[in-house]
Amino acid sequence: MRGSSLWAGAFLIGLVALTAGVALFWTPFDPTANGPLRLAPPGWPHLLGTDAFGSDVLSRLMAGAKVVLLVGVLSVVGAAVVGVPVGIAAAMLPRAWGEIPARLSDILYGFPALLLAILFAAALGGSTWTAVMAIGIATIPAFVRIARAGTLEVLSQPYVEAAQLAGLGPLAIARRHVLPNIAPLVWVQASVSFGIAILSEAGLSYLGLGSGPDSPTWGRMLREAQDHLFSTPILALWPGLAVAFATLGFNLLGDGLRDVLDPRLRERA
Amino acid sequence: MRARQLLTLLVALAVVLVAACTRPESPLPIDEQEPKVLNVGATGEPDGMDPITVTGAGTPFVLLYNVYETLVKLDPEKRPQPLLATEWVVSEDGLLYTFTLDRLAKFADGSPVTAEAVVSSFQRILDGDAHGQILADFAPVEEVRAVDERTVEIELNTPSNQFLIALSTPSGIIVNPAADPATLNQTPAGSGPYVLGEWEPGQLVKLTRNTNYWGTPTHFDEVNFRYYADPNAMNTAMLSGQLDIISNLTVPQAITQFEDSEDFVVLEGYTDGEVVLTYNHANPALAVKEVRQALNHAVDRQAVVDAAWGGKGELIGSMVPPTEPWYEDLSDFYPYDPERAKELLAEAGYAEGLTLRLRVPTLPYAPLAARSIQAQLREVGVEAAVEELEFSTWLEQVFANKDYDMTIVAHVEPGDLPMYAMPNNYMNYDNPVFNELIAEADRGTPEEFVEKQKEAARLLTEDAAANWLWLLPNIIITTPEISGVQENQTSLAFDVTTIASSQ
Repeated sequence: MRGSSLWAGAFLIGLVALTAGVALFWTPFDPTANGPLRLAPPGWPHLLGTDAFGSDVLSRLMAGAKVVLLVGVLSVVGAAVVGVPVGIAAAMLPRAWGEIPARLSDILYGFPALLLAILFAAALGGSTWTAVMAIGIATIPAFVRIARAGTLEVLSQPYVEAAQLAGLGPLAIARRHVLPNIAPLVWVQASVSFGIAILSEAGLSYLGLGSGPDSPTWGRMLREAQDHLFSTPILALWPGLAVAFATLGFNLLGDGLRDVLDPRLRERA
Repeated sequence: MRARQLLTLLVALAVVLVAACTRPESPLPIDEQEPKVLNVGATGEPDGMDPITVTGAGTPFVLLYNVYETLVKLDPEKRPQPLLATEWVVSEDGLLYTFTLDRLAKFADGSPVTAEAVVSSFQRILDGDAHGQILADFAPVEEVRAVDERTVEIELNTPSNQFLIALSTPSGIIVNPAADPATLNQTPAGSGPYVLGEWEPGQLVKLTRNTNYWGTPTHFDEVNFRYYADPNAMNTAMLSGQLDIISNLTVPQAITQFEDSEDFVVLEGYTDGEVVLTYNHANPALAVKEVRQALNHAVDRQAVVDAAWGGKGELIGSMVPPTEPWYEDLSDFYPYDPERAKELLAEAGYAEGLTLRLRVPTLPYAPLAARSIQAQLREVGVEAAVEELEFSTWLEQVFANKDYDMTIVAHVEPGDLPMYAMPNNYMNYDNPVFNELIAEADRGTPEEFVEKQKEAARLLTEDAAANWLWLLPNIIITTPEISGVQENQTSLAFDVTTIASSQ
């Protein structure tokens, strides 16, 4: 049983990544071209049918995976790059100074991530890049908190005291002792955040605040399918499944990673 | 709700008892029935309750003719008919209008609709306390005078055929002079058959019967305009019997679930909403007529309607809906012809292609139409960079600041052809020949008016001033009991005064 969620998660993510990779070079049809066959049911040559524009649904789904991974990777990596150092600094700075970034991120954390993303996207206009920025900024507090909590725990360890007595500076301690020890926590958080980022991206695109109408994203496909909910309900099924599986995949991966990487859990097993 | 029903029952019981005791010979009263209620589903909510200062179409949709009345009202053939004015005389030179008011007309508070009320209503506009469209409607007015209690004279500084029509729109509403103008945005004060009962922003506008109404009584005691952010939710409400009317179905794809049912009647009429692919004539490429014509040839409008609006909607070729007397079928003027489009682009010096920004508002039709058009333009080498803007941002950046190359929006105002002649219009369109035609039309005889307007509309098309994609259909769903709904949305009002129910 142990590790099964890791493998299931990895499989689902692998599938999304593979699809996105293939879509970089090849899709069965041009995902943005209009076609003569509108609202065709699944069959041949359109395996998942066509939408109201006559575009091939499978091709759009594949192209959508690209956008999803792009937004997910950029926003989560960006948030981690900003959030982790801030979190470590918040823990290592003298108490009064450390409180400032910690409380600021708490305030930011108080806003629902999607609401924050909507705020940014509405102010800056919808595009893939504002989606990346909005989701990235909304994800920062999660990394600050996890890094700060992890660092505080590491700092109370005897070997850190020993290093301090040996004359090691705070930067060196952060690099040699703190970072390697909190890395597993960050990986787990990244995986979970990735799932949330995918959901947020779909939400923003659904609201028309993400990538433009020309770039096929899962959220936009859901939005467009909504008009046909009563006449051609199957259109909403495919992007819905894609979002569900990708989000599930990253959550399972996060669970699995925690089991594998957390030394305390490993000892207990 | 239950408490109110109980109360009604108790009152009814009391009345019956009292009646039974005092006058045993009289029949039981039957006026203590359930009030007759009409539930109308709608999507565009009012931003305020003063049609003079609030620009949104949601305000006149609810208030015009239902709560506020005008001197004249257009019949379905767009001919002016008496409403508050029983008759009117236009002087020979077309500069003096004399209206005689109905002697019975009175406001909801019981005070009569006098000439002074008309003067004060129009003076408010002349003083500048009104939004742009209304100020434009009143531009020809020189002076408004009360001759006696029931006679009003309006003096124009130039003859205007549009003026009488404008008086039937929100511009011409007569407001009770006793009302404080500061409260009008919350509490309308008109002479119509209904008064505003309740307003829950985002959900409900309830109109209740004006017990002082001077004209023919309407069928319903209460009219509820119920608002839905999601049109699918409105459809579900209709299917489950919570609504009597869907005032306009904005997901035409969903029409099948009503068409195939005995429980519903589907009316498909016209609106005045031309969905226009607008070109910014200040863009150097779009200033070239051949480029605009090429773009018009490059777009398969039927395919756009099929994809974006479920194939519902008439193809039009100019800024005129088929309900106008000056309509001419110009929908085939630029047939879909990508080869011709490429030739024209090459002639204009854009053989190697062209990139244009297509900035659209996030309204139901615009992003869908943009996606379809973008794919089609790519076929002729024109790259449209699509950007979606939230509607208020769009109003500011595109409509006010003109920061765009192309955009898509529906123009729903009736008779909005002269928009292209307005100085400083958001299309940056300025064609002296067109402007002159519009001015001549407005000055001329009624026959000349129609003739010149028709000529002007054709000129716009020849000039490819824009690409008129399709006319938004007016799809109304009612239950079979409902009758008297106007099929064509030719005014800004959802006129409930003619609606009745057989139940």
